[in-house]
Amino acid sequence: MKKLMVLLVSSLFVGLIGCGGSRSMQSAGTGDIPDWFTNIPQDPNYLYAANTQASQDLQLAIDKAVTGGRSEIGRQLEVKLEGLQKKFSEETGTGNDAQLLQMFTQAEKTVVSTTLNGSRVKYQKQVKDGELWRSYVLVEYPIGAANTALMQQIKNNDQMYTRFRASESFKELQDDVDKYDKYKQGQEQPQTAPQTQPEQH
Amino acid sequence: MRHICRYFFGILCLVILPAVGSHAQVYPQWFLEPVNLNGAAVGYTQNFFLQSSSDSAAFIKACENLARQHFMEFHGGQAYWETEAGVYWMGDNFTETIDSTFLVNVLSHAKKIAEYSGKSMTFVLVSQTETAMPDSMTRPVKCSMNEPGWVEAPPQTGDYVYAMGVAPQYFYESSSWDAAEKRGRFNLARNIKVTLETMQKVGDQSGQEIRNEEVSEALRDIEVVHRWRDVSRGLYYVLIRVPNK
Repeated sequence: MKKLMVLLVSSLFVGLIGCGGSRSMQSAGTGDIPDWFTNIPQDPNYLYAANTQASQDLQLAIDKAVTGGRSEIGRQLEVKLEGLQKKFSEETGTGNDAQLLQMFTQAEKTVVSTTLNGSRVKYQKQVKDGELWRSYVLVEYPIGAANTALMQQIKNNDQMYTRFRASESFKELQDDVDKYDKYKQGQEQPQTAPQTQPEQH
Repeated sequence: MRHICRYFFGILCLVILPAVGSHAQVYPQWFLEPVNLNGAAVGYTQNFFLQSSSDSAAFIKACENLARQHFMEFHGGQAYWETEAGVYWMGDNFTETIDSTFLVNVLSHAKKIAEYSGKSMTFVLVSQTETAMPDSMTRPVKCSMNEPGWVEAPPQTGDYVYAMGVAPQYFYESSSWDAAEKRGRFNLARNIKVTLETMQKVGDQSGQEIRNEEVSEALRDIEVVHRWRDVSRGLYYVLIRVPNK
């Protein structure tokens, strides 16, 4: 009688533990950190920003991470434009030129701090981190589009365009724009995203 | 003694059976892979007491989804405040608008192509035209236990802009699928164009940043490409795309 009771209680215990185990969600150990989060891809045509955030609400964790990534991309663009502006100024000796400053200010407003066209989540992964959801995201932004917009901005200003056209910085920018145009033409053909696991349905 | 045995056996069944059942999810193929159904939309709802009520509710939702696929406007934004302690959500005001005239027209003219009633949900496929569906699409299939590649890396092609929506498990499964689709649509609008404003304040001891993102976009010809349910983690994924114009 007692043995039977013990058997029943232990089978119930095993059942409960077993079911609990199958429903437990993975916690964010180091094994859950995706490779692309630690080894951010390098591509001259794109800016990348990785971000991770946690929240009790899954969607909020994703949104926080994506917005953080996009903000980082905005900052990267700002740094890139400031660098370009500095190079132009040094080459042409127009450090305090009002027209130059205005042109770059306009470019930043259009390209950087206001609107990101075509920024997208390249990779994302959600894991359970204790009681929270943790989201890892990698956001990418086609820098070629930003370069093209900047080039257009420069070309619209006839006087500045004449002065910059001969500079090395301008040639570099033009090269980047040409590369982006070729890349876009190549992209007309459908591209397959890297598959981390085989798709089976 | 027999009573005790029955009692424990009953408890065992109650604990184990639901766990076993949650691993066998069957859906119609046209629900999981609706990408090849030109001009058709899927509607679904939880099962009501009367099957006819479930069918009607699913049909109306399918018509609404048809209207969403045809044209949608997204407006709104959300703000965050980041400090050393973490990122705080400050609120959002997203809205999505559909063409109500189109919806009225669809409700009166749409045709039911297929329907499927599962254990907990009813699915209906509707189209504006008589569409012949391949036999391979009509059969119910088990949702794969393996994670598809698009869950971690959404596809990238020149012809379409893709976005993914994910939702946790809610009480009704249909609510989870609804939430995942809605998030997918917003993410799609964000991928196309998003306006970001950030203000950073850095002092000697601390720093903080306020971020605001705004979306205002009108999209046409939205398509649901894939759906996948992660049974082990209780997550629902939907991949959505729109032609790249």
